[in-house]
Amino acid sequence: MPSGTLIAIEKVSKHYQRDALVIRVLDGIDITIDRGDFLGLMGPSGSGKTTLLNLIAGIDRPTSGRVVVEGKEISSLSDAALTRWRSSNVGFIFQLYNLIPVLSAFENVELPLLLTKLSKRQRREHVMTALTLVGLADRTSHYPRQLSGGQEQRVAIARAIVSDPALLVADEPTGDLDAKSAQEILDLLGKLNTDLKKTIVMVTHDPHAAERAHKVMHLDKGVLTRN
Amino acid sequence: MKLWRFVIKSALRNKRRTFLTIVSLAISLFIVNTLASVIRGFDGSDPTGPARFRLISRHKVSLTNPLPESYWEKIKQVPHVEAVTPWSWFGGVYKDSSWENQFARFSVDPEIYFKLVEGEVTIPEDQKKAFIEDRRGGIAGKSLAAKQGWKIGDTISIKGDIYPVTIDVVLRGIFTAKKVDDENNLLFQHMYLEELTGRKGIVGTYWMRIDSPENSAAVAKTIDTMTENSDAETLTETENQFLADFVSMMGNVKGLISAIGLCVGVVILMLAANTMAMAVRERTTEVAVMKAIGFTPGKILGLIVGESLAIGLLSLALACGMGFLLYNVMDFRLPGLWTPMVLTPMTVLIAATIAIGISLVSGLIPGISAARLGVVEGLRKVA
Repeated sequence: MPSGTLIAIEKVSKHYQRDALVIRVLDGIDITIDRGDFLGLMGPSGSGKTTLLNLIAGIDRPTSGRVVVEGKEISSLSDAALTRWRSSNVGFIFQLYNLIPVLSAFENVELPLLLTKLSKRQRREHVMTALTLVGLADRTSHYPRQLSGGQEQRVAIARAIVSDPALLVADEPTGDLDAKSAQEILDLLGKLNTDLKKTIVMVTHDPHAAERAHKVMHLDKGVLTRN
Repeated sequence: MKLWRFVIKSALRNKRRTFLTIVSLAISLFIVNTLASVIRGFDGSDPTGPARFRLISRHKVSLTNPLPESYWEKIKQVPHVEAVTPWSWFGGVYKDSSWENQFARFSVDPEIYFKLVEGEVTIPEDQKKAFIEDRRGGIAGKSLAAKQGWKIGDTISIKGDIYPVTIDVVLRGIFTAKKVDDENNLLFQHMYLEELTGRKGIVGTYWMRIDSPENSAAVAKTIDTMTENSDAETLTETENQFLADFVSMMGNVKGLISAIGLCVGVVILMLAANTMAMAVRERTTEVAVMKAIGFTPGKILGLIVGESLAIGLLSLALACGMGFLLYNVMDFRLPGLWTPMVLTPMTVLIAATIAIGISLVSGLIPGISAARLGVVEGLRKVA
């Protein structure tokens, strides 16, 4: 496993203001995640785990504190810079897959590459590599509605890895799947972590899923309760 | 896949809604095209064209009041007048009153007519000569002859309504005109009409060519002064003024048509904006995912406006296709409209401006909202 800190969360707090009420979602969190780690984030609903995942992924900003990824403080980047940073550094895996229904599996995976300067041939190579990795090279022309839930999630994973990001963030990736499909997805995530050295941060409710992680952190009411 | 392909796929995700939107927009743009064609037909003047060299004298009281034939000689003598011909609207019924058989029929002096329209009308010399030499002869515009299936030598019989006679005009020539409207005319000899009506010596209007547009005011004043205090006082004006007066006789039709056009435009805007807003609202999560994976707000805005533009341009193509087929190919015209309804580059440009403008506005409103959407906020809509 490659060594060195990839992500440093330093005294991060996240508050929401609802009328006169201040909701403290995260409160003074400190975490370091090493390159090649597979971190599980667990906790009850409303504990702040998705919010923490969003901060790590750079789609949300902390109220206070710093989020540093590969030595770069992403919480201080402009919106445009943060968007560019995400496109090359983070792969997203959602509970409900969130594929674009009008695009085929191939086109869904190709979508992030449309933002790059890769040629059509290079894009095709990248997409086919990603789809082969997730075992769906024979489903390129299938649309999301023609795929099972497990297959949709595998296409979503292919989309997440196609631009070869260092970090994969997964929010309840097995939450909408049957046990067999969930197992397959967890196997795939494990393979991406061990074979491709991807750093994975996964939010889950499922203790079986969490077992796949090298490290599990528990959140409750916005604070880390145990590692 | 290119981004434009994604735009097209997005536009077609709800095929029924997109189809209905395109058809609705196309019908509205077609109405705009039609109204623009009607206005264009009314406003056929060209302030910089050869019409500047032509003046028209009519009865001061009304266009329906005739002028005496004796004015012909008098007007010929007016300084700066190079040529003058009687020009009388015959009206009448050709076959029946259906719109296919509506076209303009005028009696003119054949030799002088060609002097008046020199450079604007083209006709083979032998046909021109045949028309001049045959008292019953007539000439028709190329598009009119093609529409009616006329050929040289055919006799065209028109039963008069203003004049209580039936004319049997022998087609001696077919001309082409620079202004397509002029090709919808049938012209025959003034003397033939005079003969049939028993030499009453009446003329509808006098059309004349002058040496310079700068002399138009002086010539008009001379003619009108000459006929002052007579039974048939004249009103002499340029061809462009004459056409404008003719349209104004119908009231503010242009204003009414423009108002209808504006209402149609507003309705299309609302329709298109509503459709795009619905389409984008349904895709909140999708937009959030795209932003998460690296699509910038500008790219998101571009995709949504592009989708709106694609719908607008498809509608425009459909509307212009319908207009071209109906007006330019089938020569359909509204009953009572004397000029052909033709889809011109200008009417297409008007419709294109409206289509593009509306597409941009209707795409920008939801597009800006989508571009501003926070990723977390957008993802939360499903979670």
